[in-house]
Amino acid sequence: MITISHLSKIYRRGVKAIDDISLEIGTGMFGLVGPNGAGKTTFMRIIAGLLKPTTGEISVFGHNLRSYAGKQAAKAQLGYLPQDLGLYPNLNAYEFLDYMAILKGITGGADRRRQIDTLLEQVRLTDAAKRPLKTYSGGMKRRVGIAQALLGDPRLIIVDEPTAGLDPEERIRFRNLLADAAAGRTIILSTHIVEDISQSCSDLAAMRGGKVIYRGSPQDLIAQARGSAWTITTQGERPNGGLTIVSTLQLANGVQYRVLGSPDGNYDAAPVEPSLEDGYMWLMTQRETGVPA
Amino acid sequence: MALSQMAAVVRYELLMAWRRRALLVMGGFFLLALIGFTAMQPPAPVELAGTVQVDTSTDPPTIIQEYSAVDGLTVEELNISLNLLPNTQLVVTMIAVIFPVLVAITVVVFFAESIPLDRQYRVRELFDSTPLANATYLGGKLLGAWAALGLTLLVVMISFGILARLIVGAFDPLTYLQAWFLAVFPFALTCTGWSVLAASGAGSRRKAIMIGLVLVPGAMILYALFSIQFWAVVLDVGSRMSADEPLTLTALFGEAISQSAVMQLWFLASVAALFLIVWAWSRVRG
Repeated sequence: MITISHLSKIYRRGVKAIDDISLEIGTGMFGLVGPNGAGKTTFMRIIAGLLKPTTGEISVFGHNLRSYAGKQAAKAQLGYLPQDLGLYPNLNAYEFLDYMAILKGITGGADRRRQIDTLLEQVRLTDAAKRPLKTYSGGMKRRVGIAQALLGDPRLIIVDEPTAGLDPEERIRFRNLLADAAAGRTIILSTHIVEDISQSCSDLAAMRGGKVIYRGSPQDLIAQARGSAWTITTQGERPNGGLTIVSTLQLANGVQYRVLGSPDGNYDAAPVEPSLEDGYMWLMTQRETGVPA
Repeated sequence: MALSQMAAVVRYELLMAWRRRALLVMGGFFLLALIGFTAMQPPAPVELAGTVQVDTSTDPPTIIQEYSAVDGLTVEELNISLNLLPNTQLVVTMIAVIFPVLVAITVVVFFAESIPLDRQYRVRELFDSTPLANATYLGGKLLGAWAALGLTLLVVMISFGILARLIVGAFDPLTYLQAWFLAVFPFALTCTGWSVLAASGAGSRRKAIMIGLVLVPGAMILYALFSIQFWAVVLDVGSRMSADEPLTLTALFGEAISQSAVMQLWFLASVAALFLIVWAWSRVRG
């Protein structure tokens, strides 16, 4: 269990990245969504013990991150995949994982080799394991990243924007890999790709301006947009009147818009069942206009 | 666990330095410079610390000038082989006096990027997410740089020893080894330690190299202190010579090298002090 209480982070020059967040995160996949600059990465880095909060307390499996010993104990149970993953270009995947495994405290050679072999198999990199990392594609590097995060069987895995830059096939494979790893663990998945959350998380928080503006299940977020999602087909003119356009589809007989809001009678609007993306957009629009979610 | 982590940092630092061809370039530069300087030295006359001058162009070599301190002494009484004397003086001068200038300029720039490179490759964030203590990381990086430098110098020492034997002829191997292990190695380790630690906070490789360049004058001051001490001892030993106290290579260079080595212990202590400062600073910030 991760307990976060009145957490704030103010950077130099007074930039408030996190504003009084209190949360409890249990076992399973936890999604964190929000626009760029919402404070997701700062929040994740604080939970990972990489950044000191300005105020507030965090406890990771009972270890208080305010103390050095608590932070070290929490890190011993952590797997972390940063948004901006870096690897040593001159090492191969096996060597890099070996290095990370030792740093994570897996000092037994046989155990280390077994774990590395298993993870390389899981992320389908066994054949490329001896190739220098500088020759890897973006997707392959991400797979090395997730393999290193899973080393040492951590109880908490934090992944920040893991599917950014991956092709659809890689993204699906990655999501499945994380979902498989979620059994008995806490996985915090931060993303601005709402689809990733909808496919894998049963619990989520939405952030904006350093605050958590929604906490609950994806189904509840979808329910908030129910009755507000529509499709409007026009000959090309964009719908207006306070409507939020979620998607645009060019058709043979015109343009079909998927919108959120309350279209007036001038449009030929048909109600649709909202998706998580609609729910998320609805939430963000309501916050923008100051209407409480 | 900390020891295993530190050993891993050292091992992979070495491996990556090797794969970047960094050690090969540095070692090759050192060796070529040493051979170049040695080959450029005129064969005669060679002055031995202001004590005697030997003409090595004659066969056998002859003393062409003696100073007051050695008046009346024969070559046998000086207890110096005329073949070994100028050659040993030449290689010791190369190794203990000229080579450290190259080392000072090279290693402070070369090793400054050790820690900032981790930031540039963006692996530092991954490391920081593991239970790796700052002191272990810093120690591992320092030992890794030292190991890389040590191995490079060792190869240069052996290679230059063989090549110098071919170029200048026989010299005293013990004095040669003393010059390396008591003069060059500690001095090089000090410069490297300064460089790795002082540049550890740099955010990029470029900034680290700038810090390395700033350290060059500091390293040259260290060199000057060391060099002055070295020659002061050589001259002092030469001036004390008499028939009762014959001049030997050990008395002449051995004492100079040994006394300089004591000074170098203080240099290395400065690395330890800098380590503590950098570690404490990283704890405060982290």
